[in-house]
Amino acid sequence: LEDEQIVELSFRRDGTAVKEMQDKYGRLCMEIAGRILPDPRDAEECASDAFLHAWNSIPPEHPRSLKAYLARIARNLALDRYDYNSASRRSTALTDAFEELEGCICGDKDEPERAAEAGEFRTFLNDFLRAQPRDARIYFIRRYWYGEGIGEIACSCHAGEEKVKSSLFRTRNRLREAMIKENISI
Amino acid sequence: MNESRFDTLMRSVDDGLLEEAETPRKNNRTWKMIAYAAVAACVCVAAVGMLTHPKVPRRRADGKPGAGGHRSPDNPAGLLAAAAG
Repeated sequence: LEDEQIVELSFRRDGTAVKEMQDKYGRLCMEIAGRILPDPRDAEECASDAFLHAWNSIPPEHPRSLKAYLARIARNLALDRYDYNSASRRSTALTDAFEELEGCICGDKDEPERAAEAGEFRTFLNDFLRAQPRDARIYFIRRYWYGEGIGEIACSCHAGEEKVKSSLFRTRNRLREAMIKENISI
Repeated sequence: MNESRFDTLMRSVDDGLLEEAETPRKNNRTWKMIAYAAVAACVCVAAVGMLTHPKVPRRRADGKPGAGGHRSPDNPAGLLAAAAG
């Protein structure tokens, strides 16, 4: 089924919508959660919860992209679970990505100040990413949103690992420069 | 590293960009291979054509077709001359 048809099923409260979502995007959600959570059982639980969340939130939500919507839910649930489990901190695929981006994130701010800048930052980041070459943008999002490894990105984008690495390096530098120029910090 | 700050950074990415990044990309190599195969096929067709195509007859000065050549159907003068003599 097309995404729009699945959303319509959900709007009609037809239970097959959940099954269709699982069939179509189950693997994607598992992969996203699995890059954040080292335990596959946790990842599986997050993926299942993502479909339940989607079922409960559609309607009233009407996602423009069901794929991105589910991916975002799965990622957020996995990050919550990661926080919950982080008493015994373990390294995951995304932890390495955190470290790489550290140079872009500077300064300590309190919550209200951060909240005030959240909207501004959202516009800044999306404009920045749209201004990047398509390949660089895709590598960046795959690395720092989906948490994919360099090898995975190179394989799925049919590029060499060195090309991906250097592209990420340049994009990080451009992001840092743009943030300094716009006087943005988080 | 503070993961929540990292999360703040990346949580802002729009759905459209996420979908673009997740959509499988076409393999450029496949298109290159198709292009190479098309060029190779053209070369083969040209080579076969050159080897099998009949030679174009050279018309002699008196209008008769050259020895060993084929009579051209669009050359009635040549055909008549050949029939007469």
